[in-house]
Amino acid sequence: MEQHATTQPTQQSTRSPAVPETGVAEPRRDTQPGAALTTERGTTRIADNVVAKIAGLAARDIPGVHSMGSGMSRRVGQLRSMMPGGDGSSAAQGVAVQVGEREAAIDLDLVTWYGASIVDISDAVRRHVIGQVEGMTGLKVVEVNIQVDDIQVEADDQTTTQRSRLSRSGEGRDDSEPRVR
Amino acid sequence: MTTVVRREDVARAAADAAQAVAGVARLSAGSGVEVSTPYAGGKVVGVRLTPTGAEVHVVVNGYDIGQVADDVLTAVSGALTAAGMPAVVDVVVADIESVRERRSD
Repeated sequence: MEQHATTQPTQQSTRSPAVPETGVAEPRRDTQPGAALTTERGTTRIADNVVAKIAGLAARDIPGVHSMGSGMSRRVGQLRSMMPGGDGSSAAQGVAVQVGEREAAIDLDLVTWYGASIVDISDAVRRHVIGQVEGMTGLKVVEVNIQVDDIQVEADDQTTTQRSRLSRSGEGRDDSEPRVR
Repeated sequence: MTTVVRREDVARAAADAAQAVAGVARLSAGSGVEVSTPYAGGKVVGVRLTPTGAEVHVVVNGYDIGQVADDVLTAVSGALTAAGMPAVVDVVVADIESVRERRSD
């Protein structure tokens, strides 16, 4: 019993040094991106659209990215770019961001090429987007969520037929055309 | 200070190291999903960087495939270590080219 009483305080005392250690680790983050925007002499605000544009352009730098945006916004974007006076400001298409005072979170909608590894591409996109946004804005990027909406097959017509075939096989054979007569 | 090593430089160094090995005809993109390291503006084909090291796909034209693969492993892991990266290397012999075949080309 006496041994129990003596061991418990020592356990607590070994745990307690761990608390200041985490306390030390946090101020180090102030030297990371995000701290330079809020100063004693004022703050710098960066609009969502700025971050979205940088992220959109950065994602498109990666060769496996075919286009950006979910199906509907891609179609609207195509129409808009065809219209006279369209300024091609579709750089932010397929990008949603949340920007705070010193941090930013980014969501991307991508279309990749068939045959390319989505894991490799999303990894490259995530690294490059974080690098570009942190480098240009000074914001700390806390997360980059990537949604792959579609994959592009080189011949455009094949995409629709293959996709419909896939969806049919998922629903069941009854609705699909018979393969063998 | 921290030194930043760009992934494309590491991948290219690994590719160059593998290419320089005697008995390696060229690097291969693989037969299925393309083996490459994409980066902004391009990609290094034949090398895929993984969290533990790299995967290298080569076409061999030497006689001793095992020896060539072993040399590739040594060369690439050396290049990765020099860049300060984890250096567990998977070598995939994607194809072979006979020396005779190569001479006729």
